Amino acid sequence: MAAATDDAGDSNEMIRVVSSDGEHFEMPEAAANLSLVLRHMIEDDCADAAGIPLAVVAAKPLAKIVDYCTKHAAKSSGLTIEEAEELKRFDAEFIEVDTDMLYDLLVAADFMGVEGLSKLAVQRTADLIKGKTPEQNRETFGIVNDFTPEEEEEICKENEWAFQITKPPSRLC
Amino acid sequence: MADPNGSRRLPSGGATPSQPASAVHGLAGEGLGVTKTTSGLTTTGAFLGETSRESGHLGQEEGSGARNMVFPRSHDTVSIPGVRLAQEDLSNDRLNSASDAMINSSAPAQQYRIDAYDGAFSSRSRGVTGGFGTTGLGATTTSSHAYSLGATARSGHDPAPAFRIPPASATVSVKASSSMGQSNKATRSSRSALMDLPKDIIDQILLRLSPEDPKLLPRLSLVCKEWMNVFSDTAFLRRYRSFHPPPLLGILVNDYAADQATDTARFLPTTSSFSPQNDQLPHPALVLDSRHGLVLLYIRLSAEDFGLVVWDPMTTGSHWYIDEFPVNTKTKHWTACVLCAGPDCDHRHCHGGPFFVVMASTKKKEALTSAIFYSSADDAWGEHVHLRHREGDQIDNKPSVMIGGKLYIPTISNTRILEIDVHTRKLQMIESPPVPVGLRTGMYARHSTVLTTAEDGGLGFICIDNFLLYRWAREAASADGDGAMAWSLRGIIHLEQIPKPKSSISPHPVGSANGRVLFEIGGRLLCIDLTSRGILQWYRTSSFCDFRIAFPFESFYIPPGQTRCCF
Repeated sequence: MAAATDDAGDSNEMIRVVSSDGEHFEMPEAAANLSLVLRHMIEDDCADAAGIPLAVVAAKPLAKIVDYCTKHAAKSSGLTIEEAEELKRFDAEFIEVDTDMLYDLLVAADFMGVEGLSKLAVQRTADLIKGKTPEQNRETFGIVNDFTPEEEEEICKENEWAFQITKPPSRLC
Repeated sequence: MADPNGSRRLPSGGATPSQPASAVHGLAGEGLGVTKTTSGLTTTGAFLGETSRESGHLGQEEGSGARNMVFPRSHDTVSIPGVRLAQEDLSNDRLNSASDAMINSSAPAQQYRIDAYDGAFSSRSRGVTGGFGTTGLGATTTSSHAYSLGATARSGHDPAPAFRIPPASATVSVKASSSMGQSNKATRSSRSALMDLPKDIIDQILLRLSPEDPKLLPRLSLVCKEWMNVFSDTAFLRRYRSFHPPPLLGILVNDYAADQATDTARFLPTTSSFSPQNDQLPHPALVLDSRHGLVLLYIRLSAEDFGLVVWDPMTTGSHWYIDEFPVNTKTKHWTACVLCAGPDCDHRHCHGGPFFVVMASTKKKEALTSAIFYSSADDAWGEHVHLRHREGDQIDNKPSVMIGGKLYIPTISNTRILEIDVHTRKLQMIESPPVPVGLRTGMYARHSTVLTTAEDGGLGFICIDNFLLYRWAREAASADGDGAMAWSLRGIIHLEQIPKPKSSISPHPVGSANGRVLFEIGGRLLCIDLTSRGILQWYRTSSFCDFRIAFPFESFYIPPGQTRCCF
């Protein structure tokens, strides 16, 4: 990575960031400001031509994050109902990713302090968990079952009400 | 009423049984040989091992002028992955404040390099004290400019080690050398499972699991011990309840299907988890209101024998009979509401507590509306409060809403709304939104409107006319804070997705819950989510069932045999 320089004061337009694997990205300052960390760096004149190195964010998730921030920064204030809905659709499509990318986004968004993205990724993960049986959850999220069969049985017994199969309400659609 | 005192008592002397909220029932499992994590040190320690391995940054700081991020407690306070605190008396708070002090006294920063992460940012930004490990070992600071410093020196700067790995701790050294300067490939591959993420992120994920299905958390306890510990941790459950509004567990309606002469209140469950026993619901009874986990019923056995009952569906056998009926039964226009009596209560933890019943009635000829409060703590009605108003403002028995200490009750004409201040006990009539141009009838038909809670928490007003749903919110008329309120039309939703019945009958709203509006069309009870605009059909019923009024039952679930909710 290139050496840092101190003359980064005028970077009002595009902010450069560098992923852990050395890829360079650019985004408008308004987009970078959505990241708490980048905003502090910019405020402290640490955004230079060489780019801000983000050594725990790899290129793949960083590209997504740049995408997210750019989209959201462009539509940050005075949203009409249609624009808000479009942004919602964008978010919904944006977060349709595999679990590896989801983990990367969770960690990277949290690390960079991109609040909106953190919430989006966290909610997405919670929604994925919600619709699965314990076994499916273990498979999907790589969790080891550390219960013995006896312990499992005990839990089921003590929370019988939660494991009873009851008829769902007569919903028609 | 037949021996009303026989089964009386709902709130136990106005107090809740002092049994501790015991987490996921029985899951803590001493009998299972599972150690229950008590939050804090042990758990954090365990995660420390994970995160430090993952992000690997026990590095020396580099760069002249860089922040002097010295871990405030030197090596004698830490031992690594395994992982425990050597000094048991250390608290996270103390560590953080010590850390802050060190940073504040250090030289001003000029340059930063971000190449390590362990979750401390999220901890700080959410105002949650970060784990011991994340704050300390990560060399991440808790100041407002908290950047973690990595092992790789920037070219052109002399490495100036400020964070030293304690030589005494062999584990640390091993960890450090294995992670220092290593590529991210290793870092990424170690994050192949959800549980490798920082604990703070996992907590945030688990916090966002929907409470709509009360069975979800206990079922997910079976995934692994870590989750079981989280779901049985009372601190987590308290946060969980504060994070979510009480979920909708059912809808109460009055059913005339069985026998026109008998009032039959029915509980229609909306989840597969909770349905009260049939014999718990008094019969005959009419439902008048449901709020804060309680249901208010009107029992009429004969012309002389009638009264009000407060029923707690979560607790077997808890019916609270109110002996006196303070309104002349010849008064046609009356309604009653039930609400928690706790001051400043968020209604997440008030189950079993004291409550109020408010009865309001209008004398049509005198254009006089009165309200009277019953307090369960005193077991007595208070004094009537009166309000004179213009003719035609008789109150209706459609669902009321409670907004910030004020109860709003609709009127039959729908042009005005009765506001009852629960604290001051003052009454006033407020205007409904102006009738929108284009309404077929040119006025609000009696069953075309319902009061709601708007998305910003204020009073909302819904009108459905000819498959168009109009949505208003009451908000401050001006920004200068003079208290004047005005209605603002928030949108019109076309209910085109509803399968239309043969007749051209338009749907009408019957109640609201958690940002959703319940409405009826052709004997079917449907529900629209105002945010997603998705429509769910809950029930279809015989043509006699009265779906003109529906009361949502919203409460956190309490498993059988417990006195408090776990979730």
